[in-house]
Order: sequence, then C-alpha cells, then structure tokens
Amino acid sequence: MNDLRKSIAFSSVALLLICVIPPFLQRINYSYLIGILVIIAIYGIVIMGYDLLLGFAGQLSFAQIAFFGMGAYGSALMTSKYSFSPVLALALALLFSMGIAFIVGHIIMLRLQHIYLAIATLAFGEVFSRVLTGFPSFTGGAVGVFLPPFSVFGLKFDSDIKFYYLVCIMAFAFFMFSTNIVRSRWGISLLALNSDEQAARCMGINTSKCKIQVFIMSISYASIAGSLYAHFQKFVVPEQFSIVHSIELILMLFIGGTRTVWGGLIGVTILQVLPEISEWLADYRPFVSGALLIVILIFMPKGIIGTLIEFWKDRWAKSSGSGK
Amino acid sequence: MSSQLLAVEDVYRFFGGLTALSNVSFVVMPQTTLGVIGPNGAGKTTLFNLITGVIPCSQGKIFFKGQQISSLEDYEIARLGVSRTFQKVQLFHHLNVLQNIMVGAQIQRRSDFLNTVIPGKRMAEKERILRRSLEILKLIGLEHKAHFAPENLPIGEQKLLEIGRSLATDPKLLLLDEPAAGLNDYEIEMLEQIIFRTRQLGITILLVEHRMGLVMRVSDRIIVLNYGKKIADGTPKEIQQDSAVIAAYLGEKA
Amino acid sequence: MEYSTQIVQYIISGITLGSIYAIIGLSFTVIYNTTGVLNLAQGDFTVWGGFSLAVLCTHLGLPLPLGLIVSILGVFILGIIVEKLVMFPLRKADVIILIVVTVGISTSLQGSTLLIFGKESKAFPAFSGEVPLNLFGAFISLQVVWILGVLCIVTLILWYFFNRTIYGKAMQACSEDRVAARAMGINPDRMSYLSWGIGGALGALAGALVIPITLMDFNNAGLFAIKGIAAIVLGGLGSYRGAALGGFLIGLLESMGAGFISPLNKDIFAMTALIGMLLIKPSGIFGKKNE
Repeated sequence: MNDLRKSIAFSSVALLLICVIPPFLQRINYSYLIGILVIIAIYGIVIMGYDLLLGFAGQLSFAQIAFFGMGAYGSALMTSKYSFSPVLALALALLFSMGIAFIVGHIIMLRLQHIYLAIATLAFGEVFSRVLTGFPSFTGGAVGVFLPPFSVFGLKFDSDIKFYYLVCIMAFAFFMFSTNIVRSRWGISLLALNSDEQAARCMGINTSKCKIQVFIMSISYASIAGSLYAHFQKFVVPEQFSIVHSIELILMLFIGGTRTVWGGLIGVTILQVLPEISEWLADYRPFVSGALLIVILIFMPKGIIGTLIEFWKDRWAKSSGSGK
Repeated sequence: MSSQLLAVEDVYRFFGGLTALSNVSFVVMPQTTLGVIGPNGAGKTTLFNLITGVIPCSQGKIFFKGQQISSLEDYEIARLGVSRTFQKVQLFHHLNVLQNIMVGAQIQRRSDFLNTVIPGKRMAEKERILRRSLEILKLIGLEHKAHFAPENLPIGEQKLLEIGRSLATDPKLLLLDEPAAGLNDYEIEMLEQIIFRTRQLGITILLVEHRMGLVMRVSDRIIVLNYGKKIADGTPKEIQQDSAVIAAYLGEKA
Repeated sequence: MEYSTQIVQYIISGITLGSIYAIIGLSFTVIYNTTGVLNLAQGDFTVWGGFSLAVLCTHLGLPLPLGLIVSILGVFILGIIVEKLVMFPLRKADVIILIVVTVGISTSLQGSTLLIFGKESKAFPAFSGEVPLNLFGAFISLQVVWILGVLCIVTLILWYFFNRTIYGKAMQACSEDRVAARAMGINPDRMSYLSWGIGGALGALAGALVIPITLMDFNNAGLFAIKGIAAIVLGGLGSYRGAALGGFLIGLLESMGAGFISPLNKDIFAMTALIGMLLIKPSGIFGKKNE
C-alpha cells in the first residue's frame, strides 16, 4: 500500500502544479509561455509513446511522426471537410492510425530487424510526407488544412489556457498509464524482448505479438496527440510532420533518457525552449542539438533524466546499506 | 511408449549443403538425466535448437509428452514445459537479477488471461510470481544480489541465474547447454548441487557438456553425437567402454 | 522530342544519376563493411563535398583540380575526425545507439553546413563547359561523361584496394571478426577511422560530381542518404557490386519515373523500390541471407 500512497501523493502534487502554473504566469506577465507549455505537453505525449516502442521494446522505428501526422490530418480533414465533431474525428483518426499500424506492423516490424527496420520506417515516414503533399485535392497539399476549434460535447477549447488544462490532464493520464504498464508483466516482457529476443521466446514470450501490441500502443499516443495539436494550431501543413521532426523526436527522447517514461519531457522542453529564449541562436540550433545528442550518448547514455535517476538510486541504495 | 517424456525420431537438419544432424533418434524417460556428448561441431547445440523450436527440423519428428512439437513455435514449446539455457549466457541485460527470474516465473500457461484481467486475481498472480522468483533466487544462492545488473555478476553466477530463470518457468524438461563452460572447480561444484536439486524436484534434464566428470556423475544415460550422427546410447559405464566413442574422441579425457 | 530520343535521354540521365547514387552507395558500403555501422550521415558528406567545391572554386578562386582535391581530402579528414570523436568511444554500444548517434552526426553536420556555408543553395558550372554532346539525337552534358568516367575509375580503385592491397584486405578482415583481425596484427581501430575517411571522401566525390547538374541545398543531405540507402538495399547490404548495380537501378527508375509518370514526385520512385525490396528480399540482389 506504500506504493499506492506514493502514487496519490505524487499525483496530487503534479495536478496541483498543473493548476497553479497558468495563474502564476499570468501574474508575472509571461502568459505567452502557456502556449509553449501546451506544445511541450503535446510532444510529451508523443515522446512517452515513442519511449514504449524504442526505449522499452527496443524497436527502432522512425515512423512515430507519421502517426502524429495521421492523427492531425485525420482530425483536420474530418472536422473541416466533413463537419464531424472534434471528438469523433479524433476517435476515427485514431482507429485509422491503429489500422495502418496493424498492417505496417505485420508487414515491416515482424520481418525486419535493427537497421532494416529503421530504414523501412524511415521510408514509410517519407512516403507519408509525400502523400500529404502529393494529393492536394484531398489533403490540401503544401498549403494545408484549417480546423475549427476543439470542443468536447459543446465545451469549447478556444484559448491557450483552456487547451493547457486539457492537454496537461491528458499528458498526466498518459503518464500514469505508461508508468503502470511498464511495471506490469507485459512491460517486463518488452524489456526481455529488447535485451535478447531469442531468449525471451524461449521463456514463452510471443515476441511477435508483443511487437505489434507495443507498436499500436505507441502510435496511439502519437495519433491522439496529433489530433490535439491540429486543433491547437488551428491548421495543419505537411511540413510539420516531415523526417526532420522525426529526427527531432529521436533527439528529444535520447537527450531526456530512454526507458524513463518522463525523461523525454525534459528532452522536449530543452529542444522546444532553446529556440524561444534565443532567437539569435536559431541558426545554431541544428548543430547544437546534434552535438548535444552525441555528447549525451557518449557520456550519459541513459540521458539526462536517466542518469539522474541512476544517481539517486545509487545514493539511496548506499545510504540504506544494501550496497550494489 | 506414452511414458516417454521426450522422443526424437529420425531427425535431420540441413544447412544449405551441410548436414548438421542425420537420422538422430533417442528417447528420454521422465525424471531422468540424459547427457549429450560429442566432439565440437557434432551437432549438440543444433539438436537443442531443434527440440526447443528455435529452428525447424528438415526431416523427422519430435514428441514431448506424446504431443508432436516439431511444428510448434519456440515460445509455444516453452509454454508446454520445455526450458533451456544457452551455450553463451543470454541474460536480459535491461533487467536486474530478480526481474530475469520473474520473466521465467510469469510464463503463460494454457490461457490464464482471466488471471491478468480480474483485479483480485491479478494481485494474487503478481504475488505468486514474486514469491516464486524469490524462492528460485534463494535456491541458486543469489538472494543478496537481487537488484544487481546481470553483467555485474561473475560468470559462474550468471550461469546459475540462467538456470534459475529456466527453473522459474516450472519446466518438465530442462535443457542445459554446456553449463560448466568457463567455470572454475568451485563454481562447478555449485552447479552440480543445483543440478542434483533440480533432479530432486523431479525435473527431467538434457545436458550437453564437455566436462566428462560432471556428465558421468550426473547422467542416468548418455548419447554420443559425432558429425551429426548418434554413435552410442547407453549408461555412463557403457559409454566409457564404447570403442566407437573412444575413437571419436581420440582418447580425450575429462 | 521524338519518343525514342526521349527514352535515350531518360536512360542517359538515369545512368548519370545512377552513377552518383552508386558512388554514395559505395561510400555507405565501405563504412558498413569495416565497422558494421550504417552511417546515416553519409548524405551530409556529399553535401559537404559539393559545397566545399563550390565555395573553394567560385568564392576563393581555386582552379578546378585543386578545388576537387582539397574538398575531397578535406572531407576525408572530416570523416576521420568524426570517427575518432564519436564512433570510437561508442564502439561497444548497442546497435540502436550506433544508428541513433549517426543521426546526431547528420544533424550536427547539417548544422555546421548551415553555419559555415550559409543558407543559400549553391550552384557550380560543369567541369568542361556547357556545350552538350549529341548522342542518337539526345543531348548529354559533358558532365555525364565525367561522372561515368569517375565511377569506373573509382570502382576499379576500390576493387583493387579491397582485394589486392594489404590495407584493403585488412579492412575486410575487421568486418568479419575484430578480435581475430587484431590477432593477425591488424589494428581494427585504425581500419575503422580509415574506412570513415574513405567513406567521407567518396561521399564528397559524389557531391562534387553532382553539384554542376543540380542546385545543391543543405536539405539535400537527407535525400542523398535515402537514395544511397535504396541503392545498397537493392543491391545487397555489404556488397560493392550490389551498391553499384543498385545505384544504377535506382537512377534509372527515378529517371524513367520522373519522365513518364510524374516529375514532381520523382523521389517517390526510389523509396517505393526501397520498400519493395525490403518486403521481398531484404538482403538485396547480391546479399547473403543471414540470421
């Protein structure tokens, strides 16, 4: 029950923080930061899903951004062209994404490994980008699509603050879900599969099924986040979901730390906030982010948060005398 | 016939132009230990890979508890009660010592889907898995290293951990692939103790080994492979006196 | 233009592009064969090659041959530096980490291109002037001859290097078994950085050859990389003739596709071929089926 108490304590603090930040920011006249926090929360959801696939299950897929785009475009097209309600559009886009993931998962993920998997998902992402730009009559082409505001059963989310609460609550929910699932039997199976697939199979784990399951789960995070993103931005363009952003996701995940559930959020924050506070640094951004990734992989392979967690664990273990 | 735990019938395995195993047949009775010996490259690990479903037989059949398993997937065979260790230790490096054993303990049997869904049963199941894992941990003597990373263990303990992981799956048949390789004499003693303990639990063992002393002490029967063929099948005493075996090893001693 | 001349034109431009992709494919293969790493930053070496040549000759006024030598040598050294700084410390890491770090290298190189060379696209005149040759009614730029000629020479040199020289054979040995190679007196670490140097140089060569016929942008790095990857997947990862053959096939596919089907989506043909090959036979035409 100690675990349950810890969970409740943590949740309360987190939720409190979430509620308190916007009025605080408004007080000190930094309201525009709320918009940035929304983006951080949205990408945070994408990253948490990505960590399940890449960090825990060890499947190197570059396709996460494509499913982010599928959610975004799905919502965009269904709400603007066919006047579906935003929630219905989000749900349908999610189903569509899951369907595509099911097919892609069986064709690509079960048959290819490591570098081949990476290449195939990279190609898939590129093809998706081309599809977005290449069929202007359907997808609006390079110009994109505009969306009506997001609303849930009549409640309109048309301001930064309202969106902030919406996505923060959702990010929190996804976080709790992720944390629970990585500690479950299934989560441990993923780590086993990641470590040594053959040994995992000899321990009775159906690794093919696990791969499909984790793939669908991870892209679901992205698809839902994509729909929210589309409504927040109020438009979608193909450029937002290109390979460049796929690489950004990888940067964010590894800088923050794989297999930490929330480490990616720090990566998101660093890469999103950097350009904001330093406009004049914009040109340096690619070089700095690439170099940062390299430095982290060499010196802190568990990422910033991962390394901090290890450090904490070590100190705690040493102080309680159990040694390591 | 039906009392045999494992029956291997006329099994062949080809790799392109190479014949790794040809016409291999033998049976293993329940609660016995079968040693598998032979010079390097004789096909012993290949045989293990066929039995555990890692690779398919080119020809022939394999039966486990009367059921044909030669066409089943490796994870299905594991769930039926066949577990193994590997020649080169293959532990889960993303998990700690205890969690490695838990992977074994949480193996799915039949369809216990219900156990994972109903909340009350889920808690009970989690506790069962933890309890069993701790039992096994104690059995192999690693309870003080439960949270260690597997790669931080000396090789002898890594091998014990691998055996523990397999034991946690509650197997009927345990295949050990050269467990003594790379171990010093003290570690081999520990290993022998674990093997005897495993036999006491009623688990049938298939043991590939080069350390002749160990094999002779532990096995009830031994089969000898050479160039993919079975050249002898008998008790340790019979094998030691078999001229074909001696010729194959050219006088190799333990 | 007549139909048949069209076809000839497309074949020629297909072979031209194909040669470039073949060289890029070869550059991937050198590094992959020696170190087992697929360097996703290979396209950036290509861009560096093209940009260096453009800047050296146009802005700094170096004569063409000198510009070529300096560019290629420069990226050769760049490759070595990258290997020693980044890949060597990570030589024991997981496969995934190795692939991801090349993504980091790619991003950094692109970033440095931005900083050093600026944002504008670069152009460069053809090596021997603008007057095209007339072949069966189709016009080919002399640049094509250069490209094909260089490809032949490069292939010969590489074949000779890897099959006849000590260093080349040593590099092959390293990819098979580093420990055994070390036991033979080969220094695998040296082979690693040499392979990165050669890979970089080849990539730069491709860039230098191609910049006269396309406007080069620092964004092109990704496309060069993907086309090169398509080439080696088609031909078989690890095979030199595969890389060359794959390059030609991709080039022809792209040229035909752009000409007959859709010039706007020309990149999609290479990618479709890539995906197709991965689904049918991931080991490629000349690849061995391992695992």
